[in-house]
Amino acid sequence: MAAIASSMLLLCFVSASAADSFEDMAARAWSEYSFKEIDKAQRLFSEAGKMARTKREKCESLAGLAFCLQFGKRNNVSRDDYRRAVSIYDEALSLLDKTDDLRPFFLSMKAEALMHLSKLSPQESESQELLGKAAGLWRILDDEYGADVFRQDSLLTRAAHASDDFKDENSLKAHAALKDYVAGLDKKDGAKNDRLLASVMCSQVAEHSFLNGDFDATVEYLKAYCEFGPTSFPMKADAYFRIARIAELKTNDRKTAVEFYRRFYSECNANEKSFFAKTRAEELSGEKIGSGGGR
Amino acid sequence: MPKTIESRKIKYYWPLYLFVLPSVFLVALLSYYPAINAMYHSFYRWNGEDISYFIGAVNFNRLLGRPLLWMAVFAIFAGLIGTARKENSAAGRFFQIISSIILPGLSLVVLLFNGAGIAAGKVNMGAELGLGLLIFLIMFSVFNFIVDSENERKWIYLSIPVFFLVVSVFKALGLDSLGAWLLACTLSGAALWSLPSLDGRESARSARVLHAFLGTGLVLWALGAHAGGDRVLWGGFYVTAVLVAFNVVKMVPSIVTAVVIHRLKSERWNYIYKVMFVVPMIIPGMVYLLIWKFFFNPNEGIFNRILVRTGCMDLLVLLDRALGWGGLFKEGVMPVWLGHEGLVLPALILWGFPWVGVVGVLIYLAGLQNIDQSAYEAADLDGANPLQKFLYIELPLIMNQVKINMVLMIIGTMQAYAHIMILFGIDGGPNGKLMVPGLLMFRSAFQEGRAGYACAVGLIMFFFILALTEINNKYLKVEK
Amino acid sequence: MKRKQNIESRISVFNLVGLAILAFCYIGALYNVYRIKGSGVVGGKKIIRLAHWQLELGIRDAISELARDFEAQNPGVEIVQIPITERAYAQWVTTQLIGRTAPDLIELGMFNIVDYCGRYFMPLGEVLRKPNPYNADNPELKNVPWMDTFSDGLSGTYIPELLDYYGVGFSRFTIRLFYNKDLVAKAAGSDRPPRTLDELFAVCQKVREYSDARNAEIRKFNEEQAGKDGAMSKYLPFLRSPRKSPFVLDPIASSRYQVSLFRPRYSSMLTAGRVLELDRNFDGITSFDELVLALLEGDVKYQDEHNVASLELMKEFSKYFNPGFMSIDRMDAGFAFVQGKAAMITSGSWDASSFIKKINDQPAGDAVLEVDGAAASTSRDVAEAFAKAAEGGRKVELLIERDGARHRVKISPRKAATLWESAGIELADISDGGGAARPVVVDVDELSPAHAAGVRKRMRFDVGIFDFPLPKGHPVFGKYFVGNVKEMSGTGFSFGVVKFSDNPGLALKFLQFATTVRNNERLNERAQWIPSVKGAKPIKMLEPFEPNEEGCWGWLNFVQSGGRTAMVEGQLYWPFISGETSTEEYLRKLDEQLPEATATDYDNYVTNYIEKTPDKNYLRSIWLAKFAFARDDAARREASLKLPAAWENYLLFKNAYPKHLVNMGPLIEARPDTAFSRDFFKTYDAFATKRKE
Repeated sequence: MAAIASSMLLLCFVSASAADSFEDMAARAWSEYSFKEIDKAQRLFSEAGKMARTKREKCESLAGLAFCLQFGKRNNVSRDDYRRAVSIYDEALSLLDKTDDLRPFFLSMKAEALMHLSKLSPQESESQELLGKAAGLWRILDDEYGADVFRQDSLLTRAAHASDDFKDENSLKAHAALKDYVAGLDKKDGAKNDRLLASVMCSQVAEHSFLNGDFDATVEYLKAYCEFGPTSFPMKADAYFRIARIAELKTNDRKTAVEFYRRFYSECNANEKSFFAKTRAEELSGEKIGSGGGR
Repeated sequence: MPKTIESRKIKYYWPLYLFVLPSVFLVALLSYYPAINAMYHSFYRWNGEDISYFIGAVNFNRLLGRPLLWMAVFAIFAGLIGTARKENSAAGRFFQIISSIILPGLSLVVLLFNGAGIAAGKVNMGAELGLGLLIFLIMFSVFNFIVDSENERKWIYLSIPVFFLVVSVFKALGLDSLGAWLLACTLSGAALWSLPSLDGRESARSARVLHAFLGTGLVLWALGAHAGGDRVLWGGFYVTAVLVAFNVVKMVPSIVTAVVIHRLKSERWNYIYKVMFVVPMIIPGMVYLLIWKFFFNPNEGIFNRILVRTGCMDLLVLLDRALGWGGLFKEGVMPVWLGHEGLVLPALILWGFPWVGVVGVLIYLAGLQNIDQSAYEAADLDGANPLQKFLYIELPLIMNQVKINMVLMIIGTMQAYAHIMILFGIDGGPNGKLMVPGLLMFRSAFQEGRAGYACAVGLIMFFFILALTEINNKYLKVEK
Repeated sequence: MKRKQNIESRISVFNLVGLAILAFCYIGALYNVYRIKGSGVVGGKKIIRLAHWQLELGIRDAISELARDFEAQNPGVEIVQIPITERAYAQWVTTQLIGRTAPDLIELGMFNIVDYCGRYFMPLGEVLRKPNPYNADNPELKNVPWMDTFSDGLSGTYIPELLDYYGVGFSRFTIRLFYNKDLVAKAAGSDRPPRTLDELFAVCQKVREYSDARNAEIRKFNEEQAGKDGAMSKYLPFLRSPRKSPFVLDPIASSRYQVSLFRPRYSSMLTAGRVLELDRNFDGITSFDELVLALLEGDVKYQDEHNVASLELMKEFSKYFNPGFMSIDRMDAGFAFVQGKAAMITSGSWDASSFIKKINDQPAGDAVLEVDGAAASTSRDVAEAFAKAAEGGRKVELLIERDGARHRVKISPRKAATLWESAGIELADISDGGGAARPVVVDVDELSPAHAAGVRKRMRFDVGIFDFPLPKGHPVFGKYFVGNVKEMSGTGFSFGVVKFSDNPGLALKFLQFATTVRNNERLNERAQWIPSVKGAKPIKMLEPFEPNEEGCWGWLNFVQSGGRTAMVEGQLYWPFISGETSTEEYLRKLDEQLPEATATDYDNYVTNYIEKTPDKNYLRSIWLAKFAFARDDAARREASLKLPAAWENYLLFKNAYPKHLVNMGPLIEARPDTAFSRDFFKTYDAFATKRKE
């Protein structure tokens, strides 16, 4: 009796832990990753890697493992973690050829990891070497993957990490690259993915310009941000208000100020500043604005 | 007699170890692990969740200001504790002189040199002297009454109110509280060590030890106020020290109650009173807190009404005018005990009047019940009165219980903050008067998100509690 | 032996009976759990469970009614309401979520919203961007995205950390002043709500004078009584002649909580303009770092005249608060108002129905039906009868109605000019419940003949509600007045849909049903709260709570919320607002203590941003991975929306340090020559986090 019961129990246990498909395993792994259960996620990505049948599946599991090291540990990522992440990216890149759509993703991530590793290096020479390697990868991205989302991602990474001193030459160069990218985009049309991060680039350039005292550029890029599509309603309201205020107080562009105060009032009516926007628009334009408006 | 198990015989007694193992594991997990974790995190910048990185002694630098000075004073303090009980010890004398005279004197000089130690603003000489005189009269009368004239240490007891009077004189002359205490301590220390009449006296040795502790305490106060550390923390320790001092006094009613119950001749009434004292234990602490909060309500509460009806309010108004309390008690105005900066601490001290702690009463009763009747019979034969029986038989024989309760009281008072938070909010009341270290620890961790800093506060509290417990254990004698 | 066996067998049978009962209960419990939890289907009906902590009767009734309507339209569905007490709500929700037994809809609040929503709740952004299908018959709203049908666009339920919306709110809440109309009419001569600040203070003053006059009478009486006492009564209180208790009436019931409502409101009216002047990045908000820069550069001081004006205004208010208000909590203040010991109180619309209910639960007062056998239809009839009886030196017999029962009381009136002096009662002609007005006892004098006869006064009163009077035109504060406060009034009472709900579609449908104009209006009518949907009107009683759409925002607040500055300022504010310290003293102490605390908080402010940056980068990595490895179009679409938002969120934190270098860097080098700057840098230099720059 006892033997039968134990066997049944064992059978249940075995069946419970029977291998899921790769998709299920990967989904669970990413789920644990998003819930900050990094150790569990690492284990599941390893398991998924063993179950991977295709190149893509293998790359996904490798990406998961690398992300656990590079991002998952948040404030406690060590040099060793970045090194291991780089080697995992190398492994993934060795599986991919130039036509694979995941190649820019891994190039970008490897470059980012090398960049962080260079910052943690105690020796200047090693740091420069690592940074050089990252720059090499970025050049590949720039040359071969013009409008790819991961190249856009890498442009933003470069701008964000170029220097904490926004007046620094490296920072200026990196932000100029963002400007170049968005300048080449059609705001109205064009493939959606090539402008996926365009609005973010515009808002970053706007912030960079503002901190450098270039208010005209700030307004220009905040407008571009609005045209590319703000990421959320609060961000849109924020952009409209800033455009109006900077135009009014810094660039003396009354027309833009009135336009964006009106837009703020009509499109962001629920916001606490909407009455102020209406009042300013009326005072600057000398015209009354009808009540109502959305949101 | 406990039996020692030799290591080579452990294999025969392994069930015993197995029996003990779960308890050891649980204590390690639930008590020691959190404590060690807190000590570990005190060297980290930690938000209580996922952000944690090593910052070394930064938290302690912020709290202490000048850690080396603190460490030096603590080292002297440790030396004092370690050597004070040794008779005719040169090291003991060394630490006592340092603590009594040199450190306080040096601290005063440094303070004055840096523009501190002097009272800010105008000094109300009359008020200072009046208060000093009042304290002197009360304490002198009480000690004179309680302490037998044959007691060799009587002069020590009587010099305490004199000390308070001297402090108030210095305050009247323009020194601030700290400066006055340091000066009084230095001068009295010099007198203790130089007066020829004190040489060779056993009581002088005790007085010097006591005085040395006082001196160290004052130097710690000076460090807290002026070493550049977190003034909120050190101000909190001052409040806690006051609460501890009063809580010592508040142990007396429990002892007296236990003695009175113990002396009841009727067993039945003894039992009835015990039950009556235990019944209030079922009241949750929160309910007790809210009831007392209502008592202190300025308009509706009975506390103010009792003061008015008994005429005590008039007396308080008179004292306010005479001693310059700044209008705490005004005619026709009900004092706001839980709202006024000057009244919140007295309110907290008065809390729970008549301070008969049930657990204390039961513990003392248990101790009293172990006293043999023959001791009372012998006392009767010697013609001892009830007070003498209490002082010479009962109190010494329950000193073990008193000691345990005192340790628990010190630890409890130093850690307590929940009732303050509930009554006065997380900021510690008007002017942060009641921002005790425990509350600062809670606020730092859960309001400011600086859990590492809170752990450092906890570690500092730990050292203070340890020091006080050690003093208590070493110097509260248990006579067999 | 056989008997022993019988006994043993009986014993074993009894054991089985016990076991059977245990088994029965256990199986019953299992079935119950299965029934509730199971597959969300019980008895053929789909069950939607909804949990909240609003235990007030009106709320539960409101939801029940709405649920019945929904069920009528959806026959296979049953809505089960689970109200949980506020104190236990967070723990209950946590255990339910962890145990995967949570209801389908959970009211958001009391727990860590960011963590819990991320793990356990469905993001609603996608469905909120589409029109509410229940608005299909509403021509104005049928094509409007569901989120835009709410008064605040549901911006209150957007969680920036999670880049999405997680809740749908049913109600809005604003703050107003409640007042006791009867008391104010008695004291000030009229129950019209004050419209200006001067009128408000005038009413408060009149209430105070009324209370002082009553207390003067009481003191006079007590002195007369004291004169009758013998010498021994000084020492034996129980020998004293009876005394009257002080008459407790304060113009405004207050507590620390009420002060926290008054202060931002009036400070905003006077200092909002200054806040905008200090806004450096032109986003309309003066963040803590901008404030610090302004303080360091001397652009603002604690002694700023607008700030001083707002402090003085609060001090004016505090003169009319109850004594010791800072040491009591909001419940005590609420009780004082409800019991008629204060003429006014401020609170939110969430308290309106509970105040009114508590007030209506108070005694209605003895209604006089007959006087000496004759029907009494007005107070005058009663007064005349008392006058006659006093003349004749005889007692008056009243037939009174109290709580539905009738009683006879005899009162011996004294010869006096008024009914109050004669019998110690005050009457008013009141009609309760719509019937004819009749004389009701509205006040009874302590130690009077009526009091001795056991007559009880009316404790109920009419409640009025009015908006905070503006200081516009005030001789002292008028010149600093910027405007009324624009009330954001974000939607509250919001519900999220649990991820592992068995019927998430139905749960969402219920939320959509509840937030049409008509249904939202009806729900809030029953609950006596303010609707959250545009176009839905609140009940007449709550009309004064309609949010102000036009006004200013923000106030000059020199503290970082939750930081050391908040602690220090809070500690100093307490004796200031209690009247123990003057404004100059308060400002002087701020000058002494706040710079050090500001340095600590500023360092923490920057450090917090830096510390949280890796977490934001990690969030970005989630969406990056989801974009790269999306398995279908829907997943890729979602990632396309979230990745830019994640980047923005990340850059907001990443740019904090460069912003600090640009703004603070020159000041760290130049060290402005202000007192604030000197004290600030003393602490900053000693304790600021050392960073690689």
